[in-house]
Amino acid sequence: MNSPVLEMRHITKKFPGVRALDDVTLEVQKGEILGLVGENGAGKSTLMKVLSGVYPHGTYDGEIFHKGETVRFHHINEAKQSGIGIIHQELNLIPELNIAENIFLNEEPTVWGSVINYSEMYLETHKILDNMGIDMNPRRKIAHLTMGKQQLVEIAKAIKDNIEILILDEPTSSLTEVEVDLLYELLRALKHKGVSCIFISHKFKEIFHICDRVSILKDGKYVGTYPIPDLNHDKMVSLMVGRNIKELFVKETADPGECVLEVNDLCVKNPTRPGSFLVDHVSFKARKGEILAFAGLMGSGRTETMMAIFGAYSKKSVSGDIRIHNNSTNIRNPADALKNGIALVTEDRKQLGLHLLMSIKENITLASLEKISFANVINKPKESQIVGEYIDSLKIKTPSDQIAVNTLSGGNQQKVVLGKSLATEPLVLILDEPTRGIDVGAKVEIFKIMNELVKNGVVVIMISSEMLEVLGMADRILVMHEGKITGELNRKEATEEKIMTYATGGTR
Amino acid sequence: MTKTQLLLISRKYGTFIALLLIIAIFASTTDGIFLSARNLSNLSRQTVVIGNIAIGMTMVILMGGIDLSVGSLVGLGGIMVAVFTTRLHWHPAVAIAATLLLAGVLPGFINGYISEKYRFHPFVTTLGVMTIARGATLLISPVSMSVGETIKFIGQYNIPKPVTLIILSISFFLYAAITIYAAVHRSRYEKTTVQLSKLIIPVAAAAVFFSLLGWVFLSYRGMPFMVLIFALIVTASHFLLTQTRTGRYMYAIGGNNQAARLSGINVMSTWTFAFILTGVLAAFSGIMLAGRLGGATPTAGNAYELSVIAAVVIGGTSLMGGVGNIMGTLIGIFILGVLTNGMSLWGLSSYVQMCVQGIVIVLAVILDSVTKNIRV
Ligand SMILES: Nc1ncnc2c1ncn2[C@@H]1O[C@H](COP(=O)(O)OP(=O)(O)OP(=O)(O)O)[C@@H](O)[C@H]1O
Ligand SMILES: [Mg+2]
Repeated sequence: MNSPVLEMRHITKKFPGVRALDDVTLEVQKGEILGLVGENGAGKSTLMKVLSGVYPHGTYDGEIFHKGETVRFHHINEAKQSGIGIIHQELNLIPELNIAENIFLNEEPTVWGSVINYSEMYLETHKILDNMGIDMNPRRKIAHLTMGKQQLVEIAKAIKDNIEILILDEPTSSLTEVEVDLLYELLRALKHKGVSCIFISHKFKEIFHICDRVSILKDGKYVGTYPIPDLNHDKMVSLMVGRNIKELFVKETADPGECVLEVNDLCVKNPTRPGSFLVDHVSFKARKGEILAFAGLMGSGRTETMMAIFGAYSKKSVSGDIRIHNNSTNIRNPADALKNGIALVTEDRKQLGLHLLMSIKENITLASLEKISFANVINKPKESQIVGEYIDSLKIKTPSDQIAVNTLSGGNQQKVVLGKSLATEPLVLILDEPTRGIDVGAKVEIFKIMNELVKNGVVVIMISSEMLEVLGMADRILVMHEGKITGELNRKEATEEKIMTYATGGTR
Repeated sequence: MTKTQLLLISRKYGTFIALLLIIAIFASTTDGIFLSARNLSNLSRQTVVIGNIAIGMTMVILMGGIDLSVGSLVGLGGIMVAVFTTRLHWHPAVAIAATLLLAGVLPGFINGYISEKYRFHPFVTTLGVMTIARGATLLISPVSMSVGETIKFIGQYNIPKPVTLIILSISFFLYAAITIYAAVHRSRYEKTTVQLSKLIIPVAAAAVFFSLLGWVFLSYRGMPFMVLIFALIVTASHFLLTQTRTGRYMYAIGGNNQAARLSGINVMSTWTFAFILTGVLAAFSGIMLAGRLGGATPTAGNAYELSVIAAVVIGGTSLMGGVGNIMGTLIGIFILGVLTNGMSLWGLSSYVQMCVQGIVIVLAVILDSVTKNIRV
């Protein structure tokens, strides 16, 4: 075997109270796609931050060799110059700037030294996007793009320079199938050019599909690197988790009971295009004891439907009737929705779901403080006790509940958001991509919790872009396309093809 | 001790250590005048006026806001209470209530409600209210006015020494008892062992602090009534921020406004509440200032907003919102107060004092940002 383009040796990285990486080794060959897997909090993101200079040399122990030579990055720019680019787990774009401005941020083409040459910038952006096979206007504001599109912009930004090693930290967690296919093509094209990729994902299907070899981390330690042909699903799980997980979807069917939530003619106006709708006359019922899934492509209006039900939009742009137990409600804001027993786990945990500087404890109880306070005073012992229960039941990996959530791994942050909604003890729990970024073991836990909730009479509404998840967990599936519900399928009749047909606007 | 440990300590206690250093410098260069009971007693009285407002401002800044109108409200509060007591001869309680309402609640409500309702930065709203309030003050009375006897009493009365002693002792024992109870209780529900150092250090610090207060007030005239009120306000605010829902919501709103809304927090009411509280505290400071000086000046409180914001920022509250606490602000207030007082004793002109104050503000913020970004 020829010598690796990159080697990390004996990397150890400590944070107060945690040893995130413990003597980890990693080798990347030229032109290979190396998968990196492990449970939430195993240290994948941390290892990549060490590699890309986010954690500068000196804040960790160990050595990095690039083409056989020791490198010491003190800053991300130094890593970039050596051809190492990273796309972080959480998107890092500036919402108020447009696509081209983001792609060329801090590297704007200029004339006379400092005047931005906009025409060239847009032209270049066009070229880059064209090369990637994406059709987007470089002048669109990031804020107006879906998560999936934003992700593609991130990738464009990372690969526009001469890159040798591209790190993708869970790049597919917010992409549609079509976008994922696009990404595969991109990666293969890069591979042909001799670029190596490190690909972090919790979706095994993708790992098996795209990767050449897989490195596995467990609890901050290096487990090993295996060529894909030597692995299978079960083997990988047991190497990662340390035990076997028999079945992913442990669906228990409960008898559907009375109708709890009824939505009639829900419409949400499109703020950027007057006259059109993001959500177009959506009506549905959700019954006690069922898991109702919303399938569809990214941008089909599922998230907007749920946000509207949750009162997140101003009353002016929303119309329609929402009934709980056949009583009409007047939900003007999220506080009203929570009072009516509706809770929402948002898909955008960083912007909408979490208070990054606040502790796990404060995040989990934030929406349900009324339950644990007397008058205005918070009952702190009770708070700790309840939070402790959620940390246990959701298996949040943390040394203490006082830790600020921005130091948690992505998957564990997701569990905190889930805990926050569960703590409100809702009648209707809306989960928008609840398993995004969550490892296999935790996924099973979340499915178990969903079963448990349903058994206790909670209505669970789940938005998911994971076809298998929808098919595995839902009792009933509503498919959306361009703001409308285009089809309904029950558990027995649902297939991947049928869902895709409806999701792309076709009818049977 | 390693470098990171040092940095960690300076992050936690940096401003406090700076305060001690400044005190030490003045103590050793003023022939003991700085440390005399008389000077410290006066210092405490001067600090209270700014301090009161800084407490409210901490909450506003914590939520990602700012309030520029407080200085004008000090002026308005003073003039109003003067008019009500000496020109209209209202009962002092009514006069104070009316002043707090008109010069505190009303402008505070406008500050908070309008900026939230129409979604623009409170910088603008409070700039407007600041100008209106100063104009109104000068309209009401372009010249200084004297205030009623009760108002003077609030600003000048000293609690008799025996009563001072009792108050201080009770406060200390209450503090010690609560600290110990809380630590033990907490260790029980968090299932950790009580760390003795976490008990002994705060109680010992409190013992030193209260003895110092005792020495100052018992050797010079007793505790100023103003100081007692300030202490109560500080305690109540600390409780509000650490133990109540309202306080938790303030941190949440400042930390991530959108996520706070989606958590069902009534942003409007919490936000408006903080501005009203700040307005009331500013008006009340105006009353106390007028009382202390025996009369109200329409230009009183000019540029106070800057000192107040400085105290809050020195105390570690982030202008970005989401980070800060009352104890930090208290230290910020002391640093500014001690600096002004000490430099006056040195005989430095107020121009030099301004420059030094400016430097201190910048240094404090640098210290904060340097220690905050340590990667361990
Ligand atoms: N800045 C930090 N301060 C303290 N602890 C941290 C910090 N960053 C990460 N950690 C801890 O280091 C461990 C590894 O985190 P990391 O983000 O690398 O996990 P991960 O493998 O990427 O997990 P996920 O699949 O959930 O994204 C976790 O226990 C996390 O809490
Ligand atoms: Mg990660």
